[in-house]
Amino acid sequence: MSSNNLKKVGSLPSWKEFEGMVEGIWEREYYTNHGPLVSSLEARVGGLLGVKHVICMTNSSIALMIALKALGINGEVVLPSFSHINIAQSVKWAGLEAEFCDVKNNSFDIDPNEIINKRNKDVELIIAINDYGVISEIDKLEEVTAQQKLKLLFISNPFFGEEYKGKKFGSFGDLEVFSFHESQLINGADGACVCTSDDLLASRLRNIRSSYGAGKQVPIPYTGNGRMSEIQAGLSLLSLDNLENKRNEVLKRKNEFTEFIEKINGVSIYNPTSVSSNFILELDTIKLDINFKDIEFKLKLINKHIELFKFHGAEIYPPFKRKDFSTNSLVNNTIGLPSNITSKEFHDVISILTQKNQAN
Amino acid sequence: MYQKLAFFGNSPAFEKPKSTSNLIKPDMDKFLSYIKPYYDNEDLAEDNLLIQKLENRLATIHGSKYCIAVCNGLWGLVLAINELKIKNKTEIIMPSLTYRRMADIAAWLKMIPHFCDVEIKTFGISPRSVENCINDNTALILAPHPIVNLCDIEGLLNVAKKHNLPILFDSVEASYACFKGKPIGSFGDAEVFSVHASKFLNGFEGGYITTNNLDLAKRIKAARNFGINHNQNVITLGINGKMISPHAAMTMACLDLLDNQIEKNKERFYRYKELLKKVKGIDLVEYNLVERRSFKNILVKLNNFWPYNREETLVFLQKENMVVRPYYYPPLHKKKAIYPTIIGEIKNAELLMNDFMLLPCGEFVSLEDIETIVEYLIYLENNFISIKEAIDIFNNA
Repeated sequence: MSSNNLKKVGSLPSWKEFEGMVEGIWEREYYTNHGPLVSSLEARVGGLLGVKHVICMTNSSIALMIALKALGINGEVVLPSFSHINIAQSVKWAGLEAEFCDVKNNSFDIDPNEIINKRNKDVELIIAINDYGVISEIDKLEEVTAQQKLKLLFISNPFFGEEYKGKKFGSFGDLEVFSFHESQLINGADGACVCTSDDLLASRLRNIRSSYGAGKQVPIPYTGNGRMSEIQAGLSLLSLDNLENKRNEVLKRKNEFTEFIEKINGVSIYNPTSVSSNFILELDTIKLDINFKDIEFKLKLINKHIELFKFHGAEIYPPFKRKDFSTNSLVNNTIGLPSNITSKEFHDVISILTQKNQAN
Repeated sequence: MYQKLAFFGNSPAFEKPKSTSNLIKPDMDKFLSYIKPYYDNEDLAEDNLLIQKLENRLATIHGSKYCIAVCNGLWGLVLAINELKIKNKTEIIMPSLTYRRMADIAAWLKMIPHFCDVEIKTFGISPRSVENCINDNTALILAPHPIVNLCDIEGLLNVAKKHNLPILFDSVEASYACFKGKPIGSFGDAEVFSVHASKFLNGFEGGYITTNNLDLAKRIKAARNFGINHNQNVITLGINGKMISPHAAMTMACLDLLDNQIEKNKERFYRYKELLKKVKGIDLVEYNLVERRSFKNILVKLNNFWPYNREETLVFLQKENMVVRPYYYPPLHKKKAIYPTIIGEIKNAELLMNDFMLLPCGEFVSLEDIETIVEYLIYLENNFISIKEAIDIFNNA
């Protein structure tokens, strides 16, 4: 294995670059409260994604809670039933009720027909998620929500910098959220940004986030601390500097992985041509002769950001059980691989998945 | 003479703002050495050995059994209250004269802040006032320590015990203090601290919760991780409230500077104390010298001899790039809120709310700076007749 394969892609800049960024912070003695690096990050992301307002936050969980308060809604929120428990929890923290909408068969994304057919009149917002190579029917959702005068929020983490039908992610719906968690291409250790072209909404987001960098004062229900620190912004900016290279590297690797597993019976990559920086391995557990529970721990040891989807589709009220998705093969027999997965880690994953077969 | 003042268009006393924020700058190499192993391992976002080391170090300092690091103090308070409150009860008793966001914390919890009074002597939440606010809906007592010295810990613990109510201390301003020889951090059901850059420890952003209650520690730890506990079960309503490793490394580097910081704070405090003797209209709020204190904040009272009201004083000084602040103004019971609040009987907060202000302190303020600040105060006091005349001319011009 070459040393290049051991280096994680889509992750952190070199130590030297990091030290240089830290030196800058020490010189300026500006640590948080909407500092120069946060301002610069917001401007650069806005330019790159072609969106008017970018509001950086602590992490995507807090960004979503603040976004929901900024939208000023009081009714119900529809979200895909198969989504991380955090999405529904954020809805609950914002004082709203979550209504789970079926996901499309053999997919994760929200079914627009469900919204059209079954929508309760109290619904005010639709949350749609673009993740792991699964893209919602964005245009249809925009059309449906416009017709029904609903608000629309997208969470599009692994599509940062990418396009959908010729338009950059970041401008869809009323708001679009991107995570800068270390498992994503833009790695701020953690962090997030909320994008919108709506001036009032942007002001509300900034006012709720903190009094620093609030800009124009507008009425808000109450504040929450959603500040991003200078070190988070500095790391995110370094990721941005190298985004194009990292993105190409990640997609190249995904191609290599796809080719490699063509020979393996029982494993495939879902939607392998997607520009998503993370992706899903679809598993045929019968062919592979594996019991998922037996290998979970081993997989997490390889890369802790491997997603086993255990907390997707879980109820937020006790006893917090996961809903039943018995007919959806994508939900039940998949693992999510993060953008920073290395070749070595990938091959280690495949080894674990195919261990029984090899032994036979 | 009044030409000295920036208010009249002259250059300000300081080129760079002198604020009331601590902004401790730890040794950069220390910070880098703390973060390096985790950086090399690309392990910066989730719970890891660095976070645990910081938690253990803070627990030892505070004499508490457990410590849980969080993303910032505000969400630390929200999560701690959510786990501690009496279920199905709605009111949080908190003082009116406190941190300006305190009532918003109740709003995130869909609870009702019930504002009580403070004591004249300590500025801290008054046990008697708390007791008067207790009713069938009381879910928790939230007791923030004041900017200088401490609230009446024993009195409050007695009230909480008598009424069988949980009590949470917001101890950010008492980070280094002791009560009867015991460090702050081990009182009540839990205590919450912030390591925002402006506070005693600079972690960029961040906070932590100390407690002696194992079950509570486990629940808060789960709550900061989407409610997921160490057995991979969801046990409560959570958020991503985790502290990230760069913030933990910064906090660790600041802890290495602790003794040095206290010495510097003391020097600043005593310089203010010595020089302010020359200002008849300003009284310095003194620290309790018997017990351990951080000496970080410089709080003063504008007494009857001071010839300006506080708002005028703030404007004069802020123009000089002295970022002086009023002491918790407006008090929470005077603020308009869109969520429900309950206002108890509040007398002392009204008496105190207009007379106190915080003077510049922290890493950016040298002893020479303090001389300059007090020089301006003396100037304002001695020349108030000509300055007031000049203001009239200035305003009419």
